[in-house]
Amino acid sequence: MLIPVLSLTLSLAFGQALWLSDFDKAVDVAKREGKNLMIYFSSDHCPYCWQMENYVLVDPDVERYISDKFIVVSVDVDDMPESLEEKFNVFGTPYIVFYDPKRGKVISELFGSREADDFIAILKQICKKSNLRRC
Amino acid sequence: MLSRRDLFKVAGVGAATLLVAPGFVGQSFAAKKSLDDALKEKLGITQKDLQASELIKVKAPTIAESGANVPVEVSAKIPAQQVEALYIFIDKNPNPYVAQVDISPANGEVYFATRVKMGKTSPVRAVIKMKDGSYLSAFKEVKVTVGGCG
Repeated sequence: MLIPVLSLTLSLAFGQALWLSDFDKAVDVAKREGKNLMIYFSSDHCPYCWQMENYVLVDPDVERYISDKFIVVSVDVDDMPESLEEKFNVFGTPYIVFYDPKRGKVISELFGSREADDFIAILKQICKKSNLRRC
Repeated sequence: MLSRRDLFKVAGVGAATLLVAPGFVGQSFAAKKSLDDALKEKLGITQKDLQASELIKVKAPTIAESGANVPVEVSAKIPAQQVEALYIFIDKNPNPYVAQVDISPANGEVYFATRVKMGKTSPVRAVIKMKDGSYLSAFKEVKVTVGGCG
């Protein structure tokens, strides 16, 4: 109990996006915080996932935006529960699903890597499509 | 002998350290640098001090399928004894500085090949520091494609 609480506190203290690996827990946290979910499906052997993780998702502007608007669920497709695979029809990586936890609906999906500037523009579009007031 | 209680104390400190560490690591990675920042830090110069040179050849793919592993080859038609060092920069990487290769007459020629990681489409730049204190430069634009694995 102490470790998740400490982890959450530290993430918030450092202004970093909260990354979780359990979908159901992430839905609860997102509902509580009034945020949408960004479900990031990746694979260790995919160079485009490497690209996203090392240059895009760690970009300070991207990280700040994600931290402000989303709870992130990171899922390794090689070790993924079947329920998630069926629910989101994962066909490749990197595959990102934006999910409204309150309505239980997919807002948008994105397949493939993007450059940081393009990714922020996409995140802003998705925010506008969602039920969040401030984007 | 280490008691059970002591072991838990040590484990607790270790766990706390691991939890705190990602925050610091994230912050250090998050510090983006421009090409000028990197040139200033590494060589004490800016882009204005670089003199474009056709004697330097940067060989790299025009389109790289992935930025994870981009082959780069730098050669120069300049006698090795006139050259002090060769540098490689990726202009648009979060940290543009990639490599420094000190050149001596024993090298015979100015040549270096390596593989680099690229965050996005960017010029791959070679900078040669001459023994007379001048800096020669050449670059090749490499497009990093976006894509996915099916």
